[in-house]
Amino acid sequence: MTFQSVEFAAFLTVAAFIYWLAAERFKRYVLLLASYVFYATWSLPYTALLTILTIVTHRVGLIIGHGHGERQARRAVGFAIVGLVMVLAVFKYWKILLTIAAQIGPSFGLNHSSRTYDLIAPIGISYYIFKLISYVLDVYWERLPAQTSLIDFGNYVSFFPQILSGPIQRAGDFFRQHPGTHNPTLARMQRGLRLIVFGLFQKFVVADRIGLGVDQAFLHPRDSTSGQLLVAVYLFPWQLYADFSGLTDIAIGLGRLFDIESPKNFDAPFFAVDIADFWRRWHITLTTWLTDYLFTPLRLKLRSWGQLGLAIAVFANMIAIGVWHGAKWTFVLFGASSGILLVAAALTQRKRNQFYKRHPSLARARRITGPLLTFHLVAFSFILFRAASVSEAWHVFAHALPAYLHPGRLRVAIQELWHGGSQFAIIVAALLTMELCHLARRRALLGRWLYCRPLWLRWCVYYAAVSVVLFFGIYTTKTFIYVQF
Amino acid sequence: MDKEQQIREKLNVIFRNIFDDETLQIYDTMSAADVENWDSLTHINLIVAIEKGFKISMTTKEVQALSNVGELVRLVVRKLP
Repeated sequence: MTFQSVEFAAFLTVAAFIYWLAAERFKRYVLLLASYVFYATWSLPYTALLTILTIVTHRVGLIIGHGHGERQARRAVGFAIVGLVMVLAVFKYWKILLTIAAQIGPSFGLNHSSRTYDLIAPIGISYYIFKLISYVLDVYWERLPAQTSLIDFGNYVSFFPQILSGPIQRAGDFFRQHPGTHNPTLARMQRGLRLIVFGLFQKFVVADRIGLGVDQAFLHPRDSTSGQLLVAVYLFPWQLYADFSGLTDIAIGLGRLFDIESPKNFDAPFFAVDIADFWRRWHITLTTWLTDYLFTPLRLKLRSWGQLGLAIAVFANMIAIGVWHGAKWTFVLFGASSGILLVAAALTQRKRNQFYKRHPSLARARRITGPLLTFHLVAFSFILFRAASVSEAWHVFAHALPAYLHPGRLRVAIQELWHGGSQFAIIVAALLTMELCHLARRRALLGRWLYCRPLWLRWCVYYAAVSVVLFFGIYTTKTFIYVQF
Repeated sequence: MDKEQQIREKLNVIFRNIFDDETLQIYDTMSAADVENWDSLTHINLIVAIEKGFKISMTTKEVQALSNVGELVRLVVRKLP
């Protein structure tokens, strides 16, 4: 059951009504049941896996948090982290693991079976395992008391708006809101519904409309012209952004219907002044998670290594981001290329800050040149993210560059990819609307503006927004890009 | 001047040096959100500078448990002989 399906709309309506009507002491059970019913529609056996991991991690949290001594706490943390990482690795990287087993097995006297296995990773496993790992470490680091209620803990892990693809909320932030104990206010529900409509706009009107042309170029790069490839390189980051930001906004909006505020995942990433700034604004809940639970501990361990330790920690962090997306060489290289850029940024950060302090006029100009340069670095590194293989990525890169010499061909390329200029005009208008809404949201302008308008005008705006999604949306793709990770 | 006050003054010098800000004044509830450029990179530089400055060593668990300057001061006090 996907967020954009009719079945989900029916499920949400029923779940929300039962939740609102339920007595306070029963709400947490209703929420847990709703999350498990939602997850069970994807896979019943994997619902059992989710249940087992939840129960075991909850128990580990109690052992760590309830003063059984440092030695036992360390042992429990080690057991939980190794176990959770192994589960994740088996499901996400089983093909690579089988290949390795087939290669090294015979040297240990093991016979390799010719039988092939097909293992589909449980939906959302990367997201909920990250939640479980951060919970265990937060309890161990005494940032958070162990959660005594298994029901509340189950709600944190399986909360259905977040389980498909985040945002990866921290346990402390979730429990502070006392989920499953009260109804949202009418204003909060309205804010939630508005965000869901905006999420659908980003997905169907912006992302999927851009995807019509970009997917064509990336699916058949050897049949595409140089101009088409360059246009696809420039527009893919926007497609990915609109798709994932749309999905996140729907998740945040759904959470508000149950009075839970989820963390944001994006903060105007294409306005970032350098690559480090970009990674602080892009998929924020994943990058901050890796910063807290991988980069910082590793950097602390390597602190006596000076700048080399910094470079290793940054690079390992970015490789982890790449590999987290899947067991493909393109993702490894995507992580490595982002790592090289970020290491360069980290090693020069202090000098650059001092330079801009001495040259304030250049610092002002950087507000324009910085985002332009950063966008180009991101767009070209995203070729690795989108291409089917390393050779195709190289083909796209090598054949897109000559198009800079013939800018006139870009217009032709746009008309070929979207079958006419008017389709592309809709994309430009939709992109501008999306970014204006994002910028207005950053300063809470949109909500405040709507709040001050009379009721009839507000409803006109809502009808108009829903109509735009219905009339200008593209409804051919079945899912969101980030659900596969 | 008591020992904790001396530690605070020394810490303030380290903070000013790490964040390149001669006007920076630390206080107990101050956290990363209150200081420009206090990110994950400068955080480790700060820890390394404090360890060198006070000739102490902090564990990963101790560093990860810190949530503001007040807790950092108490940790340094605890670590000093």
